[in-house]
Order: sequence, then structure tokens, then C-alpha cells
Amino acid sequence: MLRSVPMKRALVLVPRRDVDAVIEAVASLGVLHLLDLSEREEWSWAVRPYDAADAARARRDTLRQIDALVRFFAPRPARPAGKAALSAPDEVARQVEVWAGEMERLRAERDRLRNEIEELERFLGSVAVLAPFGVAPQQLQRMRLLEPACGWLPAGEQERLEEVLARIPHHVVVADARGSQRLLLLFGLARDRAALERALKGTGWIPVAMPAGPDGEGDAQLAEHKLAATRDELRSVEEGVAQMRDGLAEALPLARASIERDLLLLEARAFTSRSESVVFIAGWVPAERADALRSAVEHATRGRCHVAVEEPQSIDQVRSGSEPVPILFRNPALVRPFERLTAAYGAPRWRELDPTPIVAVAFWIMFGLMFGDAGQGLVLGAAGWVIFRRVARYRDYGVILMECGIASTAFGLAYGSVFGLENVFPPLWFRPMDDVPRLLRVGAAFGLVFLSLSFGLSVLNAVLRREWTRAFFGAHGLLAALAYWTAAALALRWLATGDVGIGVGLAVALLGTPLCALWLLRVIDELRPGGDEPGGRPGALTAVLAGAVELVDVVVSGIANTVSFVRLAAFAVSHAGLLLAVFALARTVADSRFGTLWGALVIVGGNLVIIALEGLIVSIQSVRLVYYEFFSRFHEGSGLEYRPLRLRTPIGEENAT
Amino acid sequence: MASALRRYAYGQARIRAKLSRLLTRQQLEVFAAYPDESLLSRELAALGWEDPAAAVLSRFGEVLDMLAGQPRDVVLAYRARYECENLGVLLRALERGVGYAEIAALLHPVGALAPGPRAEELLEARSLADAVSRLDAKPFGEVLRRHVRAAGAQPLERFRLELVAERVVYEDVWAAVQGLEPGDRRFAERVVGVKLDCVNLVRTARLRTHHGLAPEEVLAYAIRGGLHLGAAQRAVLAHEPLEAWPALFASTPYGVALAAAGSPPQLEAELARVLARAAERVLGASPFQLGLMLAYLVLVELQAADLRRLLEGKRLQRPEEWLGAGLVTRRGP
Repeated sequence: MLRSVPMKRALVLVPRRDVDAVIEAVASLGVLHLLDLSEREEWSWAVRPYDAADAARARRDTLRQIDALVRFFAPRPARPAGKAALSAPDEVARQVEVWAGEMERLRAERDRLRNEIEELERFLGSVAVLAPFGVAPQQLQRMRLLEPACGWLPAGEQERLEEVLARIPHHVVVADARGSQRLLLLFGLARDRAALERALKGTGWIPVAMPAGPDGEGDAQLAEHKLAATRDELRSVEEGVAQMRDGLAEALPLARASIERDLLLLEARAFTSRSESVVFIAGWVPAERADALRSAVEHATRGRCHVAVEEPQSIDQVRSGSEPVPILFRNPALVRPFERLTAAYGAPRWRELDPTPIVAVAFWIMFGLMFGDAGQGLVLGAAGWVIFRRVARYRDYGVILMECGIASTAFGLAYGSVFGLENVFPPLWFRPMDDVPRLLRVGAAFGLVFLSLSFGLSVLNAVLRREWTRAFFGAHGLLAALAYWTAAALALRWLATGDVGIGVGLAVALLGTPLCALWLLRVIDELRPGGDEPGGRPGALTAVLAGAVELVDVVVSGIANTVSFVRLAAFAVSHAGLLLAVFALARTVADSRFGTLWGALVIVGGNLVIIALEGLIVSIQSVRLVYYEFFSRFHEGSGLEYRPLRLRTPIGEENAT
Repeated sequence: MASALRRYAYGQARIRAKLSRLLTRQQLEVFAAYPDESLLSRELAALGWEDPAAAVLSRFGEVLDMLAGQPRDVVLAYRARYECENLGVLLRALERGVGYAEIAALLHPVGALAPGPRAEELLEARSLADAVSRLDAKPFGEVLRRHVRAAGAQPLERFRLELVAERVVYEDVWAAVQGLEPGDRRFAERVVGVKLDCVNLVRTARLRTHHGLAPEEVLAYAIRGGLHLGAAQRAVLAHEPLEAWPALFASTPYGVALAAAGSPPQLEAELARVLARAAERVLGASPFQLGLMLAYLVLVELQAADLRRLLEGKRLQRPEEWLGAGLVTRRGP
């Protein structure tokens, strides 16, 4: 707990002929977070990166073809029955090539036929469009003052057309409608011909050629015959597509799995370097899995390998911070779901402490304090249990909900509240509404402890990172912590007894000494030579002012952050207040007809609303306090998450593994 | 209210946290004083802004993770502008015969035309029309193919395809906003509507001054949507001289910006400030609504634009005053 899983850097040297087997073995084991060392190591001059670019590009091409096949055929998702062995990727690539060729043939044929049908329909449409108006095509062509145009436009674009033509005299007639397309007949003035053409071009108007001669009717009959024949032809092509779609439903997922697997291995190869006879593979492995990695490599190479494992602290680049060490959390099962909360903010850096366990405990306490009710807690816990058992995807949230339910139940017992009823059993601690000032003190005291922890973690992290300046006189360093604790002790004493217990002079001295020291050290740090401030070192006055501003920030944020925890009490009071309101409402309706039933419904409904709504608000507040008041002091979240090379489970083998 | 609370409770807390991490005006002014680009790049990298465009898209990803349903669709539609930029880059590369390797870094990792095989495939097209025929139907393929057909035998102009693609994206965003529930729509319109108005103003100015398009063409490419500029105002933009705009739009929030700007680039900067103010106002409104996320994304984008300006300014050795004067970010301690 508090420390992530120790990592080691592994350097694997294997003969070139074994590299494929080794990468596959490493990927199957799934423990190595790959690292590209070729540029950084002192022996980099002797090795070359493994050039798998061409092979990877070929595999990506095949994946692209598979995507195109899926897009074109849209096969129903199908899974092979039982285990399905993956074919060799080269064989799959050849097969995909054949399918892609067939797809192109079908597509070209289908597009050609569709275009033909569209042209014929458009022609027949243009013949038909003029019929209701009793206008012969040649009459339109003879118009001198009017400029006619006939064309298709999507229905939604007609409004745009009207907007564009607003200042041009015109008249539009909808001649036909097919789906979302409208066949429009547009008349404008001949003098506006150029403007009309420009306007139509921008709206996506597809002009329809008018039947040219007096023989339009005879052409129409021929076109109708041809249209019927073309439609038959298209139908047979589409049947061919459907047949192929059925055949590919199972084959395409298998093909994709095979190619993706091979591509992953090829991409992993890009991380390797090679000399004349050996290949180097480097990466980070959890210390406890280093032996397993060694065994896997030895097994894959029959012992023809060298596996060197280094501690991170022995690596210069790691010590200097230029090479991040990936972070793998290690927490007990009950705390593990809260890793999501930490990871959402960002992983800790190497050597830093993992705050997840503290976050988990603080979350339980804060939630319980704000949402203390034994009955509602049990409901929350039960809901968490259902999610945990039934919805595998949200299992972590189920655990968090169960834990919050337990915390709520525990505080409910302490507050003596079950579904808002306060006369069922006596409180083990006190009732929030009976002693609000006490509750406020509890909230502030929790904040004080929680923030003290954040100061402690800030100092510890800085020490662990060997950042001594930050540890001692950083904004959240030891001096700031001393000032905070001194102020807290004096405030607590004053709250408890009404007197700080020491003279004002001594109090000011106790509080002022660390703050002044903090200020002076900041100023000195600003002024010390060798700083990398852009534009050179600041002047003395600037440094003094900057130090003073930072000091004010430390003091104000310390007070503000502590006071922020008073919200714990505020939400506990609001929780109790809402329940009081529910019971008052229930009493009001109890006097009406079926009053007992209505009253019971109000109590049940009110409890459910409070559980849903306030449970949500309380969890938001808890997250907020963790992120703003706690993490912001010590946790930058700029670490690298551990992501090992891992092969996906082949299709159909999920149960076997 | 309860559903809005449930939907946005976590999101608004996270957005507030993220807002506090945006760079302040003061920080940007300090950056403007940096001696060179490399130092500034290093500092920005340390602050997570190594690549402003990538940082913006990462923020979009984070916001999308907080949303579901129609609000998510609105943000997705709003992000599609980067797909449109990808299309523009690819079409320009195709027109100039530039290889994929040279432009891959300019592509945003979003949508079907993100760096990868699809984008590479598009550059294998024989012509602009062939490239358009290879696009997926949505969001651009269907509409652009219609415009290719509408052009008929006339030569296809790349900039017109880009205009249509951009129009599609913005009108999709506006349509998505109109599909929101009233509580969300009211605030989303205040952000997206102002953005659309600004885009229409800048586009119209550019189309008229740089491309010399006729009013009916300008109107055909105008984006239908926006908060203060309806059909009548768009007609005025298309027909009236640019010099008359400040007086004609004095009653809108853009009057001052129009009066202060002397050229389309200046107009763009002035309108960006109007947009930033609109976003800030929405951030101060009800916390449980989509406008909060959109306003945050707008501010992130404006910040990214400021950082790009600073980096480019440093590269071109522009004076500090020039850099400071062009900054849009207003947030400060």
C-alpha cells in the first residue's frame, strides 16, 4: 500500500532467428512495458532499430481492406462456434486480397448499374415533369424573357435556395418528390441568367437535362424498357453481394484477429534494436514478474538468451527524470476501485506515494459523515451488491457503492437515524440536528487532519524524489506545514477554551517564524545564480514581492482549504433537514383520504429521491474535496501508467484461458 | 432539473477543475516576453501544451467522456470541424501533389481522415472529384459528391469544396443544438450561436474581399444558423459594402468588433474576443447545462490559438507588443 509495484528494467538479448518467438512469448505473458532504448544507451552506435515498417504497413493495408469489406458487405456480427484457430497472417492477407478484388468487381458493377438507373429515372422524370403543365420542351427552349431551369435538390436545401434567391425575381415549382429529393422547376428572368447559375451552383442543384426534341415520348418508352432490364441486372448483383456477406460473417472477424495479432507483434518489433547477430528488447517489468519473463524468454529461445534486469535507481536517465518509470498500482481489493479516482487525475510519478488508500478511507468517512443513515446506507449497499453481481463492466462502481453504503450505515448508527426515523434507536454518537456547532467542528477537524496528511505526503514525495528545496520550503513543504500546524493548534485551543493559552507575542512568533523563514528562503531561491528563469534572474524587489505574494497564497489557501471541509457538516445537516421535510409532508397528507397510504408513499418516495439525488451530490463533494483540497497539494499526476505488451485473447478461446 | 443535475453533476465539477488549469492572461504575457521559440516550447510542454491542437482534441475527448445522448452528439458535431480541417489539408495536398509523409503531421487524430491508411488512400486519388468519390457518405461524402455533380463539366475548385464541407459541419452542429432539451439548448445556443455568427462574418468578409464572390454565391455558402444573425442579416452581409457593416450591425454584439477591425484577420481576432466574452458569460450561468462544456471547449480552443500565435510569433521574431496585442485569452487571477 502507498507504494506502487516495484519495477525493474529488463534488457533481453536473443539471437535474431528467435526474435519472433520471443516477442510472442513476451506478449503472451503480458508483463513487459516496452521501451525504446536505441537512441539513449551508450551502445546505441552498435545497434540498429528493427525495421518492421514495410511489414507493418502491409498488415495495415490488409486491415484497411478488411475494414472496406466490412463497410461494403456489413456482415452481421458472428462469432465462430467453439475454438477457432487463427490462420497464418500471410495466408489471411492473400485471402483478403481475393475478397477485396471480388468486392471491387461487385462495387463497380453495382455503381454502374445504379448510375444508369439514376440517369434513366432522371430522364423519365424530366419528361413527366413537364406533362402536368402542358408545356412542350421546345416551348421552354423558345422562351426569350424567362430563364427556366429544372433540377434536383434535397428537401432541406430548398429553404437555402429561397434565401439565396431572395433578391432575384423568381418562381419555384415543386414538380416531383422522391425520398428526401425534390425535383424543382425554377423560372427567373433571362437577364438574371448568370446570377441564377451562380446561386444554383452553390446550393448543390443537380440540373436535369430537358428532353430535347419532339420525339421525347418515343425515347421515354425505350428508356422504361431499359430501366426494367437494368433493375433486374442490379438485383442479381445484389444477390451476389448478399451471398458473399453470409460467407464473410464468420471469416472476417477471424481474419481481423489474425492480422491484428501479427501487427501487434510487428509493432512490438519496432521497439527492438539489433546488431549483426542479436536483437535487443527492453522494457519495464514488475519486479516480482522478472523471473517469469526470464523463464518465458529462455523457454522461447531454448536458453540461447541473456536477460539483464536493472533496478531503476541504478539507471542515470531514471535518476535525472528523463526516463519515466511506469506505475502499476498495488492495493487491496476493497481499495482498488478507488484507483480509478486517482488515475482520472493522473498516475503518481516513480518514487511518489500512491495516495489511493488514503483517498479510499477519506472518501468513506466523508460520504458517511454527509450521508449518515442506517436504512439508506443499506439500500445503497444493496444497490452496489446488485451492480457488483450483475453488471461486470461496472463492478468497481458496485464495490464503491457497497463501501459507501456501509459507511453510511455506520454513521447512521452513530447519528441514530434509519430512513430518517430518529426514534427507532438512540444515537451512538449524537444527532446532527441537535448539535450543529459540534458537527461543524467535526467537519473542520476532519479537514485539518486530511490537509495535514496532504502536507505530510507533499514533504514525503519531495524527499523521495530528492527535491530538498521543495521538501523544506516549497509552497506545501515542511515550513508551510509547520506554520499550518501551529495555526491549527492555536485555533483548536482557542475553540476549545476560548483562549490560545499563550501570549500574543509568543503566538505571533510561533506562527511568524516559519512563515518568515519560508518567505526569506523563497526570495533567496529566486535570487540564487544558475536559475533557469527565462529572461534572466528577477530583480531583488521582484523576488521580495513574489515571495510575499506566494506567502499570502500559502496562508489564504491553508485557511480556505480547511474551512472548505465545513461543507461536510453542511451536507449532513441538509441531509437530516431534507428527511425532516419529507416527514413533515407525510404528516400533512396523512389527514387526507387514504392518508396513511399517501403518507407511506411520501416517505418511501422521499427516501428514494434523497438516496438518488443526495447520494450523487455527496459523492461529487467527496470527489471535489479529494481533487481540490487534497491532490492539489502534492499529487501532480504526471506519471506514466504501466501498459504492458499484451496479446488479446484469440476469438473463441476466452473460456480456455 | 433533477435529470440535468444527474447528467452534469460530475461533469461540471470536473470542468471547473479544468478551467482553473487554463493559462491566464498574465502567463501568456510572460510567454510573449520569452526570448525564443525553443524555450517557450519547452515551457509549454511542461504545462501540457506541447502541441496546442493535440491538447485541444484531448480536452474534447475528456468532455465527450462526461456526456451521453444528444449533448454528446452536439460536442461530437462541434469536434467534426477538425475532420473538416483534415479534409482541407488532404485536398490541398492532392491538388499540389504533396506526398502523405509531408502532411501526415498536419492531420488531427480525429475522424475517418485522421493520420492513417484512409487518409493515405485519399491522396492516391487521381483528381479532386475522384477523392470526393472515395469519401465516406457522412459527414462529407454525400454532400460533396452532390456538388461535384452540380459542377458538371466545369472545373472543380477546391476552395468551394472546403466551403461546402465547413458549411455542413457548422450546420450539423446547429441542428444538433436545436435537438437539445430546452435547458441545454438555451445556453448551448449562446455559445455555438455566437461562434456561428462569428464564422459567418469572417467567411463573408473573406469570400467577398479575397475571392470576389458575387452576393448570391456568398449566400449559398453562408451557414444557416447563429444567435444574432438570421437570414435577413446574412443577406445584408452578402449585399452591403463591408464599410457599412459597423453601422448596420451596431445593435448586435459584433458592432464594436466590426468598427475596430480593418481587415479580415483583425476582424477574426476582434470576434474571437466577443466569443470569449460570450463563453465566460455562459460559464457564470447555471452550472447544470451543456453550455458549460461548450464554453470550456471554446476557451480551450481560443487559448490554443493564442499559443500558436505566440509560437509562430517567436519563430518569426515578432515584437513582444505585437504578440501581446493579439492575445484573446482574458482569464486571469
